[in-house]
Amino acid sequence: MNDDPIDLSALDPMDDEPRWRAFVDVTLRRVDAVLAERAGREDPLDLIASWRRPLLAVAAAAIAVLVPTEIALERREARVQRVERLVAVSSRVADGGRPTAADFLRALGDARAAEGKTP
Amino acid sequence: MPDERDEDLVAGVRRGSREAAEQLADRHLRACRAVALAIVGEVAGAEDVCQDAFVYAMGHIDDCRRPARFGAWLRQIVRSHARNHLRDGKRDRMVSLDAVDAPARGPSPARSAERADLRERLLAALRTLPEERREVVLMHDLEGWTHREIAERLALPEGTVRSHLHLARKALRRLLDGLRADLKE
Repeated sequence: MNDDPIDLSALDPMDDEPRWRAFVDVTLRRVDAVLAERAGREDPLDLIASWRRPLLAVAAAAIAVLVPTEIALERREARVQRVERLVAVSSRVADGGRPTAADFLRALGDARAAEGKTP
Repeated sequence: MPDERDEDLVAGVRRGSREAAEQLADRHLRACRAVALAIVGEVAGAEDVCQDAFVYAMGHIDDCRRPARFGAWLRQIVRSHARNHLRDGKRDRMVSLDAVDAPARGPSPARSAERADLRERLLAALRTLPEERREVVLMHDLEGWTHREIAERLALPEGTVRSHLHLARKALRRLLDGLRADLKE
């Protein structure tokens, strides 16, 4: 039984190649118009996505500056508190008072804690 | 970018790449034309459908949920456009190829007439076949797809594809032989 392929070459677009090339060119010209229209359209999600990278960079820079500043300020504040407590103990001595051992330990212990050491 | 996968090309079109669109056209436009031809049954209408469907696909590329299967998605759009074309009885061409500056060289008028006559006979014979059989024979004998490729892409068992192809060829051969005999008389 003959089951050879049917010769359909008369239906092949390359049977008239210049015509097919022209057809593809026209198709792509229409595609150009569609792509230009797409490019002109601003998708809100794309807009947000385009801001994501610069926003992350700014946030990272802010953290890089603010965290060390905050740590420095906290250390400074802890030193001030330590000095204040020591001054308070000294004043009591100067006024003729007798600070207890607990007063000394509290003043020194708080200061050590502020420096990150265990009392 | 000849070796790029369809999904990469789809991503390219989404970024607005004309080169990616051109590559997809090179890869899929012929098969689209064959699918359209199987439904519409005439070349000019099939090419209108094929062009409209491809342009539509490029404009709606974000709707292609599985870019690796772009070809199947595109052919589905072609089928839908082809059915609309038949339903609306559309005959006006969106962009007339007569208006395109095609190179002057081409087949001689005598050969053109002969090929046009053969084309009409083939189309007349194809129109007598069921649509699925038309698509299978065009994909195999015109586009050179294998049985397996047709089965995968049309979601048919391979045995069904073979059967469609055999029956389509048998019917076409009988019809074309009959037409040849008529012409000799």
